[in-house]
Amino acid sequence: MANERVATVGAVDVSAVAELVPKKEYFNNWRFYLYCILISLSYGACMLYQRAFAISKGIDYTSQDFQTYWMTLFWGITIMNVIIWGLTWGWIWFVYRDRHLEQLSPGEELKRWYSNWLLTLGVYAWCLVWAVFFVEQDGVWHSSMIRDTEFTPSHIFNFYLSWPIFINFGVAGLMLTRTRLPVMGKKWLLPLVMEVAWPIMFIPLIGENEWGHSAWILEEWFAAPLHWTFVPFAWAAVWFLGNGFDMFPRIAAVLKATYFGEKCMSAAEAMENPEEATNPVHTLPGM
Amino acid sequence: MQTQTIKTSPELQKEGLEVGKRIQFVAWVIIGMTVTVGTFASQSLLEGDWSFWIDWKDRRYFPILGVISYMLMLVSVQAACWIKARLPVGMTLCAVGINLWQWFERYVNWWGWFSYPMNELFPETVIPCAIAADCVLLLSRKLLLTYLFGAYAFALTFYPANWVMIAPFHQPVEALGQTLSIADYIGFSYVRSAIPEYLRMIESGTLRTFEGGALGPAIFFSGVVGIFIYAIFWWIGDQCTRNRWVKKI
Repeated sequence: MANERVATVGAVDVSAVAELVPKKEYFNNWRFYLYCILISLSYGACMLYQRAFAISKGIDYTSQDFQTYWMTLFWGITIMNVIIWGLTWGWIWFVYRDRHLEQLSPGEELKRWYSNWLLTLGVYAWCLVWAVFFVEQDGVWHSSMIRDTEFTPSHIFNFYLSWPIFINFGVAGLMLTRTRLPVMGKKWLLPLVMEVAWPIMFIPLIGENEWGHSAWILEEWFAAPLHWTFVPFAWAAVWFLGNGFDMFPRIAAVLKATYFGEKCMSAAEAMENPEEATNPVHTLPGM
Repeated sequence: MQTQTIKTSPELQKEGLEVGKRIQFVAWVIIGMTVTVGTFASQSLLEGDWSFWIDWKDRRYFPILGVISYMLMLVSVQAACWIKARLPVGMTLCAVGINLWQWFERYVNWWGWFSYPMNELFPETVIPCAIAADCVLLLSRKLLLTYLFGAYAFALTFYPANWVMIAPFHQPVEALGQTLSIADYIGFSYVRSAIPEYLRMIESGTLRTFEGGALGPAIFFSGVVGIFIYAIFWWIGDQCTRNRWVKKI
């Protein structure tokens, strides 16, 4: 079997570049489940901390307990975010980048679609789920407590932890797709860019929201217009659909090339003409 | 177009099908959960208290805000699934997802953290509304008819679909020398920072039509708003899924 797997893409012998047909085990979804479980355990611990110390230590910003239990945590999280952002993005952009995308074989490209695009954006999505979970916890908190400061306990895990974390994975997914996959080598897919960029706007909007709350305690009306500015940025989920629908044809094409021996555009061609490489017409039966 | 050649075999093809299924499965899980929480965030921040509390589920604003807040994202998802994949179930699947997520949230956060009773904060459902709108799209296969009748199908089914859950809480009860609804009594019993300390007469108005209540006009008005929402958010769903590439960002 292994001897039959011979392929060339243009003038490049791809067997010398990477494994031609990836092993089935590589596409084991347990990796994704494991990432989700680890993230959930971390956030679960945060949730338990919040429920243990939010009321007992977190309702008076001027108290020493608040500084000890919550502000220490806030500064720790903030420093951690900056370090994680710098390390992750710097490593992807300067170290992990593939500078010979045009030589990529379909098999290797398929592996990258799975790891660099699907699973990274999958972890991004899972972090978004947790971010929304903490948003709801914030709603519970404000429906039960009178607002103190913007560093109120529910905000620590909501604004300053779960949001920067999902931004980290979103930008990482975008960078990986840009630096590791031929279709994004020279151009950017707009739905993918917007799927990452659009939710980042939640962070600047904290400024607008907290500025408003400095004047009005609008928890009297949780649905007050002050919160409506967040709403359009939740629509970023539609960009996810766009990213998926637009990229699927290329994934199908390299999968068919790898396992079924069908024709597909080479990596070099996909780099030059991503519109055509992601055109679903090429993956229709008989094309 | 350059070509590449791979000698294949039945075993290899079987392996390829398996890999394809695995990728598809996890991709749809990811897209499904993202669309679900995106819809939820949009709906929750827009409808807010009308969705959270039983004493806010009135007959004047709730039928309108409920329809509007859900339709925004649901229509975009319906459009994306229909335009790109001819799937006529996008709205329904999304509605099921958001409903499951809401129940999870209400239990874990609202009941789990601050012990608000589930009777007070159960979420409304839009699953029947989404089925109706998806059916209009599937049967008509015409955009204009879907705007007109899909929006109204969604709006007209919203309140009846939730009435079975809400009705028991609209029964009158006498408490502290006053007559009020069970929903209001629950609201008074569980004080929230969001609720003013008086009974708001939100159903007051100058014209009491349709059997003396505001419900009928509210439902029909939500249908009118729904038509415009349908047109705008179908367009957004279409635009967000277009295969567009740019050289610089």
